[in-house]
Amino acid sequence: MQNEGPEVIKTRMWLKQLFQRYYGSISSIYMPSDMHRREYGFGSFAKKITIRHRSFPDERAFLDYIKKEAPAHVNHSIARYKFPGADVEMDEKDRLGADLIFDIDVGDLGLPCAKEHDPGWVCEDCFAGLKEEITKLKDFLSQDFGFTGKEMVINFSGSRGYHLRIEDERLQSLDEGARKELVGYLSLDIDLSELIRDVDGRILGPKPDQNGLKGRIARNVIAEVGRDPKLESKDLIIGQITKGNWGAFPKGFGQKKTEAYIMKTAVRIPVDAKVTTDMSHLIRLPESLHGGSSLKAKIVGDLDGFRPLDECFVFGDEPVKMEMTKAVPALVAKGREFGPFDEGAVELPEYLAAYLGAKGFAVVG
Amino acid sequence: MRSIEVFHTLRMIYPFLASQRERLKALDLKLDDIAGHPIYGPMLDSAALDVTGRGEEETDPELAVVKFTLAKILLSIIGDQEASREYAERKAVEWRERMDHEGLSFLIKVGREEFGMDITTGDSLRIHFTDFLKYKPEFLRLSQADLLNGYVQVSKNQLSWILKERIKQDILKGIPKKQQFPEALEKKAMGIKGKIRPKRRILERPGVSRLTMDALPPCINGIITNLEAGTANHNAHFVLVTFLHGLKLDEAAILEVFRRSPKFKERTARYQIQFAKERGYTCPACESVKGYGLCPSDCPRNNPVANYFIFLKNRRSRPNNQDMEGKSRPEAQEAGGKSRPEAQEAVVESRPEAQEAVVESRPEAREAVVESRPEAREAGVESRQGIQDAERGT
Repeated sequence: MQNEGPEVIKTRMWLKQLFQRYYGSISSIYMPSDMHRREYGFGSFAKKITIRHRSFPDERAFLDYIKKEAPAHVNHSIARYKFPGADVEMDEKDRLGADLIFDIDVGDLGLPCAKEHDPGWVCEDCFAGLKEEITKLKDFLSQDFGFTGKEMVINFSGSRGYHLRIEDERLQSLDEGARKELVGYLSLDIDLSELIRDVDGRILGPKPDQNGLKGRIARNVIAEVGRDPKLESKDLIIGQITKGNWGAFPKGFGQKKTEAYIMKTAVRIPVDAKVTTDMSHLIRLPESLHGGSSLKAKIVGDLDGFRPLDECFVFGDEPVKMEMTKAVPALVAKGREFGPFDEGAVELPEYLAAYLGAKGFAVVG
Repeated sequence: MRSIEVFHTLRMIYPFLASQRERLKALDLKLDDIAGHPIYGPMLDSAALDVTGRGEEETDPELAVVKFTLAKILLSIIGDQEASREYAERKAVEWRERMDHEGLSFLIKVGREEFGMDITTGDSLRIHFTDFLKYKPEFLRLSQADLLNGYVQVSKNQLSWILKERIKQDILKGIPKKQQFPEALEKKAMGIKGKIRPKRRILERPGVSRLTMDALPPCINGIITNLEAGTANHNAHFVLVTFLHGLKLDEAAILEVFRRSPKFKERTARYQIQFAKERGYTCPACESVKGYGLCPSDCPRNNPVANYFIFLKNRRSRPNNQDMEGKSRPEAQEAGGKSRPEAQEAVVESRPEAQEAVVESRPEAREAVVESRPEAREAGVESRQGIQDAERGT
């Protein structure tokens, strides 16, 4: 935890001025559908949400507010309410529906690089891992759930992840139980004994030609069997799984080991269950700035070619004297190579100074 | 024409359909007149019986829709959410069972046209996953489903279960908001309030703090045997967890039962126990348990929880573990000789009087159905509240 000495406070004040300058320069911003039915929450550079239960009649009023306050974090409710601004208990706001939003955070990916750098840092491997997961999620939602690219809006979270929201009215009325079941489907948080069963000594399971999760699991396991150097009689195992017989694994591969094999090979998307299932959740407004990075939570059109550290900086190139408070590995930002940096004085372009300052790796020099 | 036949069937026996509200509207009945009406007046008694769970099937579509509407008004006056839920569940189950005997096209029509469900019939019968998730019974799981491009493949029987939940929600939504109703209706509602209570007490047993194994109905005994062998399926888990919740066992005690499984995973078991409780799932009726293939024999009551209390009482009065007819209970043999040390343990609280509340003498209200009713349209005075308006809470 960064101590809040005078340098930190000075850095936050500087960032606040930058945010004020940015919001002062824009004439429109992304607004969620039924924006007047949403609750809004705002945060400071010290805390993500300090004010909530705010509502605005239109985009103009909203823009006026953020231009004046330049909040470090701008969030909106995933739910629409009859009384969005009422400072009352959530159930008195009278919820009309809630968006279906998925959140993937780098902290949930279990990437090997996490052990090699500061937990607050997001390296190239982290960004690549995130992109892989959000692509998988998109494929899942498209193949199994039938959503088109048009209905799925993906935005960079502004710091350490991606958000995917689906614009479909039919999803608005899904209750918490239904959302939990969706998350369970995507993250494979289910009881596998429902899929793999020991019936009188025969281990029966899904077949690769089945639709839904069953087919996915069978296809993944077949692919893994093909790759596994330790397994013999691969053709026999694959042939049997194709028929739904999962008992052809070598001796000692009981139901438990088979389940473990599935967990190892299955496509599981580590979505944050709370964001999807908690209908009182506030989520970052796409295209707003993230106070923990100074980056824009940009809506991503071309996922394949998207690089957050090329496209999400909004500040200028003017040199700013900074004091590094932690070492930072080498990075590429806006196509330029920087670092690695040790602790100490450094001069950086404004956009990178703001990035490192907001992330807590540097203070204004 | 097929569609005419279908709608004829709809009108005959399914008063929850929107088309029936139109029929009700055409009758132009006024709430002030209903109690004394020569044709529809007796429906008030009939509706009251239905609310208390002792009603009988109405075969005349007009009488059925009047009765259904009056039942919802009575429930509004009674103002007891649990009584409303119980009524809605009972009627939805009743109509689902009836729909199960209809052709598939009828179910699809009800789903699509009455409830706006997204149902497709290409290569197979499929329903959009949002409708599936909103209305599916607990024993259907998305993870088990054939899900393709947003549509879940369902059987006709599964579709009838999905419609059942939708009907239940529709009934609950159709109960009017609390308001002042004519005195005759208020009086009737107050008159049956006390009569609902004994029936409801069965559902609200004080519960037990410990399970008495030799009071278990055969289905639960069988499920536990399968659980111990590691072969209990999802439906069996569902029946067991809702049964144990029905006895009001606490989470730790329920967890102990599940611990018997060689596949026991505490996290999964806890989740299932808490989920069933949060969603308020109740133990399926014996008929449903039979449908899951988990019922090995008949019992005196129609719900495993009620049967447990019956067997518990019999056990206490008949130490040789025999049933009311003096026959050995089938589950005594089915226990498979496995030792269950806690079988002898006493139940701390029990409700031996539970079964007394079920049957009461039924008033003769239903005899009032009259064949001809040309005078039905004379019933109303324009300035007064129409029955169809009351239903929507306007």
